[in-house]
Amino acid sequence: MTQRKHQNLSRALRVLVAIGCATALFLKNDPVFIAIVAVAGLLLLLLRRRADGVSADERDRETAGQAARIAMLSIAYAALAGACALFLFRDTNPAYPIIAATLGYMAAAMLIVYSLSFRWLNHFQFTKLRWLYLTLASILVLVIAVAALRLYSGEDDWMSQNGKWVMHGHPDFPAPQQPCK
Amino acid sequence: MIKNIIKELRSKRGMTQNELAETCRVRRETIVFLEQGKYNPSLQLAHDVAKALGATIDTVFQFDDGSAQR
Repeated sequence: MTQRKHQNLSRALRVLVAIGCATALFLKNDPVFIAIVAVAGLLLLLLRRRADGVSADERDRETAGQAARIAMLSIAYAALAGACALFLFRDTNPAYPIIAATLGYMAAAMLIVYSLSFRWLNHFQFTKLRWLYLTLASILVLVIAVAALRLYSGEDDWMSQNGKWVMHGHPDFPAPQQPCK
Repeated sequence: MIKNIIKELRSKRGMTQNELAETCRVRRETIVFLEQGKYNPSLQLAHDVAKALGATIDTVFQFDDGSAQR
């Protein structure tokens, strides 16, 4: 199979998968969604194996790097602008500040991941202590993820039931002082 | 940008862009961009192209004076 034929077939398959996945999500059919993704992944792998010649070379990788940087910065700026706009209109809808904060954190997380990945690819992967750096970074990410889950999950809290404060989960702070409503 | 004589050497050897691309394990478009002087190759690719054309890197690729002084 030529590269051009492979590209056309894989493009058509991706369109079909997108339609199938969107329909499965719309119908709330998770098993079908997972099956479509799994089968499409296998088919794409088989197609790739049947394609002859070079699919990507150093010029493609250089272009891919530039395209990824443009895409990432565009999304980050769009998210930032969206967050600012939502924050300006926070009085019109109580959900706006939450969405604005989510957008802001998402953009910040993306830029941090980009920066760390760049640093890793550019410097740390060539050092003797690369496994130490990788382990420390993994631990740090894990700690931050757990802390963020604990802070924002809302699972551990006090709930008002029949005029009394009842523990929900394991809150590490005392019950509120104000009376239950 | 680096100037090159890939097209001349390739024509002398009767090679197509596709054949040169296959020998160097790159896509044909990369050879097209190289010949047009729109892409600076890596040292590895420059070596592969020169080897495929039976020449040395400094024969195939030439820096213009401005680039050489930088």
